[in-house]
Order: sequence, then C-alpha cells, then structure tokens
Amino acid sequence: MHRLMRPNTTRILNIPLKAPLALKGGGKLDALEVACETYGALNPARDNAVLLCHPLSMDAHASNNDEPDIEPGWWNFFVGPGRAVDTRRYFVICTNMLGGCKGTTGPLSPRPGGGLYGTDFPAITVEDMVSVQRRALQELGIGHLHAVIGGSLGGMQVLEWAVRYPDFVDKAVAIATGAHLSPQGLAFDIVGRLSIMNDPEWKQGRYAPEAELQMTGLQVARMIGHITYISRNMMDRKFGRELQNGSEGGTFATAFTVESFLRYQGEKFVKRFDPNSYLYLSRAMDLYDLTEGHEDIAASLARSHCAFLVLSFSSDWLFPPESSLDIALALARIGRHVNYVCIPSELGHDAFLVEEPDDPQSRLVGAFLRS
Amino acid sequence: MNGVEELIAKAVQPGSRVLDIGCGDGRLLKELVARKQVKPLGLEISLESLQQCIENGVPALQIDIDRGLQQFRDQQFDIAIVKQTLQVVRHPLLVFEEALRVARECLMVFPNFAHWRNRLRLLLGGCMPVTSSLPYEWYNTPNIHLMSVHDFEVFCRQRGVRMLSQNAFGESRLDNLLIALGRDNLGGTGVLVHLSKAPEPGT
Repeated sequence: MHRLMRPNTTRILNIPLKAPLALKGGGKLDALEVACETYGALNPARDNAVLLCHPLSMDAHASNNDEPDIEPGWWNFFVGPGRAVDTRRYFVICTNMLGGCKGTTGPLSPRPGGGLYGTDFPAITVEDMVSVQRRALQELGIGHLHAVIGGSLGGMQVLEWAVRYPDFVDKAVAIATGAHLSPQGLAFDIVGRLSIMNDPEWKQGRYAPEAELQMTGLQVARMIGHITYISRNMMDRKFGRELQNGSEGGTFATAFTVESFLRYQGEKFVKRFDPNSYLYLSRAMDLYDLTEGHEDIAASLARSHCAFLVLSFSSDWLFPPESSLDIALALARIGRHVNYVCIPSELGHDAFLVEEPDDPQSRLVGAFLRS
Repeated sequence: MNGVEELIAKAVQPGSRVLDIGCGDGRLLKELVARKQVKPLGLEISLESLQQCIENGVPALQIDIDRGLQQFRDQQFDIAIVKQTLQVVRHPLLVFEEALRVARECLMVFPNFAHWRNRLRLLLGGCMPVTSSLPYEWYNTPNIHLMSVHDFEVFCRQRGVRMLSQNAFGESRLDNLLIALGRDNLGGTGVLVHLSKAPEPGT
C-alpha cells in the first residue's frame, strides 16, 4: 500500500472509545487511530504543549527536528530547535487529521465486518477533526495547549479549537485561512472532486488502494489545487509562457513549462495520497463555516478567549488577506487580544509552507509564542 | 514615558477602549494597559512595528489608515490616539474624521510648524526648517502635511469639533515661557489636543 507510506518517525495512537465516536454528520466510528509525531519534551508544569494542524495534503511529519537521518518535514524551517516553533522550548505535537491517509482513521482504514472503508467511510467535518485531535491529546496526557497553530484547512481547525475548547488553548495562530472558503475556492475544489469521481479507475471509490493505478483524476485534482496555491505573479515569474524543449509526441504533447510542472506535481501526488481521502478532506474543508448557526463572525468567535495571531499573505487568492482580516476585526470588536499581519509575498497561498529570507512568518509567530 | 505620553495617560479614562491609530511599537498602549487597565488596540502599517507590538504583548492590526477605518463601527472605541501620525498620512482629513467617528474622543499630537525657530529659519535663512521636532530634510521627510496650532484650531472650529484641552510643549526655556504666556503657536514645538465631536454639554 504505497499510498499509506509514512515516515517511521510517526507513531499510531490507538484511541480507546467507550462508545462509538459520533460524528457531526450523523456517522459513527467504532475504532479510532491517530498518527502522531511529537518533538521536544513536556515541561514539569505541563504548560508548553503546542499543537500543529496540517493543511489538506500534509501529514503528522511536520519536522525532522534537525535529525540528519530523518527526512525533513513539511514545516521543517518553522518547527525545530531554535526555530519559530522552538522544540527546545515547546512540546510540539502534530497529528494526521481524521479522514487522512497517513495513518489516522480514514477511508483507507479497515471497516468493521471486513475490507476497507473506501467511500463507506462516514462524512467528516472540521469539527470532527478537532474532536479527534482533542482525544489524541488526552491520550498523550496533554490537558492544556500553550498554542495551536495551523494554515489553510489547518487554520480552520485552529479557529474551531479556539471556539470549541476555549479553556484548553492559550494562543491560537491562524495562518492563510478564513471563516469559510470563498465560492471561487469552492468552485476549484468541486472541479477537483469531479475529476476524481469521473476517473474510470476510481470505481465509485472501490478501487484497490494497493494496486499501481494512474489515478489521473486525483492527478488533475492536485493540478487544480496547485493552480490555486500559486499567485499569478509567481506563475509569470516561475514559468512565463516558456515552451518545453524537445517536446515530442504529437500535437497535444506537453508544451509549456507550467504544463510540465503541473503534470509532475500530479504524478508525484498520486504516489503519496489516496483519492478517497482527498474527496473526504476537500469536502470537509468546503463545508466548514465558522459562522454556522451564528449571526456573524464576531458572534461565532464570542466563546473564544485565547489570544490570536492571524496571518495572511498579500498574494494569496485562495484565502485572500481580507478573509483573515475579517476574523481579526471580528475578534477586535468583541475585545479579544488579536494581532493581524498581512505578510508581503509573491508566493500565493503556499507562502506559509515556504521559508522566505528573514522569514516574517517565523519572526511573527516566534514573537507571539514567546510574548 | 515622555511628557506628552504622561499627558495622554492623564487624559485616558481607566478601563476605556483605546484605539491607537499609528501605534508604532505599541509601547504607549502597553503603558496605558499597565496604568489605566485600558482595553487597547493598535493600528499600524509597518511589519517591523507590528512585530514589536507582538513582542510588547499589545494587540494590533495591520490596517492602511489612509484608506479610512470603515472596518470599525461608529464609537467602537471610547478614545482614539493619533500621535505623530496626522502629518505623515496622505489623507489627514479622512484620518481625522474617521478617528472622531470610531471613537467618542480623540487625542492628537503633532508638530507645530509655526514654532518661532521654524519661522526664523524660513524668514531669515530662507530654508525649510530642520529642528529636533522636525528633524528631516524636505526631500526625505515623512511629514507631508504640516500645520500650525493655529491652523488646527481653525480646522476644528470649521468642522464643529470641540477642543476639550490643548497642551503645547516646548524644548527650551523660551518655548516654555511663551507657552506660559498663552502663545502656544509661537512657543510650542508640538501640541497635544483633546477633541470631542459631542456638542458642549447644555447646548
């Protein structure tokens, strides 16, 4: 099952359930496993725990914590000894989200009664993901978080943490996120999911995950994702309208540099991600709305009482700066402690995953965690 | 805190909601929290300043105040502070009006271009004044909208904005003497004004 591969630094927490775990959408889970990595150590006062919430396509392996023999994690520049999320100072936890395919219970997990869940896996939400993180922390003996940090879909989880478990969290860092995804963002996700579901290999989700499949549907979904992660300027700069040298293979062979970039990303992605998992996670992200059942963002944030750091990136058009600013303004209106910064960047939505010179995200988050 | 900041602290009511428009590193708000238990919020444009606000534990938002403060509601704050900011913005009239919309009262601090030393420098030297309160050359000054205390008084009167108090401050003995004689516009290198849009009580 090559798609399940995860770094051997990740361990699996078996979460004991007294009763089946009830999900927001009405479904139930009889068993729950959570893939988890931790860095640093819990201090005697037990007040230095920091939870990282990963974005859609990442996993629990946020960092190699400067261990040269371990593959770098997806947030290596940001999490480690002496980094913004300093593992000498904090006990850092990162779990694979519910519905993921990197070790936490999801569509690739065994279904009661035999076989794998596939699309029989119950619908999940961001709220469910946070409940599961809460249980995983309990299992680790963590009763309180110094901070919860996340970007994009992980940022939505941060917001959910702040309102659902207000006494559990001292500081919330929500990066490149919003109270909900814009209709434009939804549109791209919808096309991505349609692409997966129209792939003949997908077979209503009943493909054999261990088989060597092309999964062109997931490839295209990932390509669409990448388009939304990069700013227009960045695409201009990185690819321009350059044609590939020596492209052969007929009229519609790969022609543009941007085309080969997207193809490469798509091909790389199917080797490490499960199509069904992608469908569940992207749908959970689309359906999330912090303001659900409330009059406005301010009302939905009223239950929170932690301090917030809200960060956006100037060229992010998936979660544009205004969507972050709206959260910050709502928090300010209800008198919460909030700092908001829009970091100038050309990188688009992906900026929070990339180290920039004198990295502003690292400086701001580092200062916020220490303050 | 310097003298002006002491005066600001005196004018701020304990526990009030304070908006510092152009809050810099946030140290003034931090002081006001410590002394007056205010509920603070700073607005800044510079990333470096916003990082310092975080280090100082002061809540602050990155907002371009030159585009107005429409994100904030009428009287969302009890008092707004506009310290050494009005003269550096592109749209001082907008910032002025917005400050007095989002807060009931406003404390403004700005350099007085009509200070006697500036007048002499311009009259006798024929040059743009470069002084400790206006330490820049014409080509690199952030102060793009300079005014005198007198200009500001007229400006407020025309807009029906009430001046609850006016505190000029100087640097030399002569400055302070002139201020003591009521000649703020001549002796003040700068001024702190306390403004309110509310009509005078009883009228």
